[in-house]
Amino acid sequence: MRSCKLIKEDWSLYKKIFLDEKRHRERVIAALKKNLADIISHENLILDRDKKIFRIPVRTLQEFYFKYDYEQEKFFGQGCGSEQEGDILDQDVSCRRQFVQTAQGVGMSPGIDFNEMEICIEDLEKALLEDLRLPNFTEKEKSKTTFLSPDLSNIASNGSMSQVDKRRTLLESIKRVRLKGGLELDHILPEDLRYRVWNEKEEVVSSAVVLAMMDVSGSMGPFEKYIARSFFYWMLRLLRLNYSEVEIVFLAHHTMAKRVNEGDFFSKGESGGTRCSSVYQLALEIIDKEYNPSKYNVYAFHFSDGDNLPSDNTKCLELMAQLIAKCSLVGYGEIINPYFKNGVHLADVYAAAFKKKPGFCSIIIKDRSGIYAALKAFFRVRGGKYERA
Amino acid sequence: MKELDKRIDIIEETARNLGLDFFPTYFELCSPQVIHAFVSYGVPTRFRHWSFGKSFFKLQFNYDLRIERIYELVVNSNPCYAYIMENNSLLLQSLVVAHVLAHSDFFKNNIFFAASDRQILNTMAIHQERIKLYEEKYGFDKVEKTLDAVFALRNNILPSIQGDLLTFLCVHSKALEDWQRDIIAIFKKELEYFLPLRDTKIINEGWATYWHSKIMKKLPLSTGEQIEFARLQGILLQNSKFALNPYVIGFKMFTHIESTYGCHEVFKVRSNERDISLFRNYLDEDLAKKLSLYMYGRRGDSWTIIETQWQKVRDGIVDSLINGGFPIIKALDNNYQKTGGLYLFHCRDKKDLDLYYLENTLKHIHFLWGEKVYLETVVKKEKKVFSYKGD
Repeated sequence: MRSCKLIKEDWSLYKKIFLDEKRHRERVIAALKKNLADIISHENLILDRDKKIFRIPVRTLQEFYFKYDYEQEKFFGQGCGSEQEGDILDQDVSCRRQFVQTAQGVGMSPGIDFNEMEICIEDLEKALLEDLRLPNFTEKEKSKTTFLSPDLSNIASNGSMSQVDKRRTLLESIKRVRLKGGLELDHILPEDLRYRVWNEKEEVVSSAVVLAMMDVSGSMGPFEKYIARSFFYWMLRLLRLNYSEVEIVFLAHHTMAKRVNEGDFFSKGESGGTRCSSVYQLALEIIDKEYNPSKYNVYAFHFSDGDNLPSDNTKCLELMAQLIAKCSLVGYGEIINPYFKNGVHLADVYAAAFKKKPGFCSIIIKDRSGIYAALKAFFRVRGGKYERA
Repeated sequence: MKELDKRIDIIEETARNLGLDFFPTYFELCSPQVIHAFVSYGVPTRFRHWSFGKSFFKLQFNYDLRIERIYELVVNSNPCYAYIMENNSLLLQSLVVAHVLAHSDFFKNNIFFAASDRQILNTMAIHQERIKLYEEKYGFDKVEKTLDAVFALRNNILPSIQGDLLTFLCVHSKALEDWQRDIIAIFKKELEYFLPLRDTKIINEGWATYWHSKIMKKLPLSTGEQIEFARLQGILLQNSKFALNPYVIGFKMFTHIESTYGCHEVFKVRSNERDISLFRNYLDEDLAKKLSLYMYGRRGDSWTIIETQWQKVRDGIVDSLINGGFPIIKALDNNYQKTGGLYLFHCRDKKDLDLYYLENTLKHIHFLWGEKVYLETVVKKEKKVFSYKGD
């Protein structure tokens, strides 16, 4: 007698595992938030700027229980009979090992719970940037631009069939019948039809402009450039996530300053000496010509290694004071190679001059974790309230 | 489908003629995704928790990288349900079917499954509904936090005089609400399903491999299929340098038992033993040599063989199988120093506890207990008491 059979069921609606997977991901991201400084300096993020998804090594969430000290654990294996005490099976234990598994998922070597996980850039951004805003943001007169957002709240008596509002159509039909004194629901006539229509709603936004200034001189080594670009990369992300109408001007300088496009800003290196005043001069010209501070919230961020020509420092101070007067905030980030510091740096000069100025913020970056620190310092919300454009 | 259906017919008859005694078994072809989901939960109708999502993520990830292949998940129930991976060759499916029938026989006849709930799919579906209800009533976060804490004690249901740790908390804690006690009860009931599976991993896989090998040899296979079978068998029965491959070890043990004590003994072993007793009672010098077993551990920066003498290796394996390889923790006092503290005791055995895990597990226990929690253990040969009293 036969008691076994082949059956087929439809599991296409079995979705709970995806909810659990999503929940795990949420918890990983919440845990990541605590280590953001490490994550955002990950090279892959900056190198593949257009990718939507990144693979970065992330521990899956640990589950705790009582277990033995891993170092003291004993394990068992199978050899070919010639093994002896003291034979070394594997050297490579200091670095993190992936599981070595056979096709059946058995024969796992003792490894550490470690996985590469795909992180969606949006998820990371949300965790990273949600509390950061342009500081000192004010409504500027005449700077208002309108932008149209679709709004579905309007009803019209003609429109496209795909937009029929059934509820209102039915109401119209009932109304028509009742007005004639009837009680029963009649047919729906063409005149009863009601449609939802898109209406464009005007939203008012205030404009802002951000001047991204970067030192690309010869003294900016790979590390310094990497830090500066990482900062600007995340700044761009932040601005594009939280503001719909922000203009960004890219300025690169060595002894001369020039306006560049976004692509060049992130990829090209230059050489030569450093005269920071050149870029401030250019910034001021651009502000005067194109972005009147009475109409725009102007922000200027400058990254340099601070190795400025000493003769230029006085001019820098003078121009910087002008910039501060015109901008909602000026941020200056100085990237210091801890093994290579000599002479007076710009950060010292600015620190003495603008220590108490509210519109100025300066930060010194020594390592990768400084990127996030700089973002937090520059885009910290001042006065507890932030504006959203 | 039709061909496989015919094969199932033949395999069932062959298995019966060879003496296997299994539950009526339903085979269902599933996509990799569905199989991975079921494997993550253990039973398809289990309640939701992110840790299953984590397991699913890993399975999918390894599958994509071709690191891991799972062919089936068998649910110990009557009728027995076997979810098998679709789109495999007829030969591979035949092997899986034969393998599954031996698992089904094992579930039906092994003493450690005698008390199994054979309606486990229904039972877990009911549990799932109850937990869903609690989520609606008391909030998802609260339920999740309770489950997180309860999961931390998944290896601590070994019975002791005062009952296992989970039951102890359930009975004596003053911090728990009734629905939380119910969650503990649910969790414990479900562990009763999973623990015998954990403790019979090698013997059960060995049994299934031993029988699928016998059954496959009796099937009318074409030459091509015979070659494919040999290849698959070769992949399945690979020695692993770093772990005990249950398919190889179990298979060779049964083969050895059959040749030493006869066919009758094989069925006796299937009925009466689990992994730990299988090694204790049936691993002799001859077999140990054949298997070339060794024990290894960390020595400095490398994994080094530390023992090859067969009795010591055997005893080491037996040790490592006690309580599934997890430390045994008992509750000694539910009103420590008359302050309502919970005093736990690690039954000392040769190895220290992982202190990072210990500290974090205490937090979970504190959540369930509500008062200060103590744990006595030994670190580097010295008695130590850890405690946690909340933030």
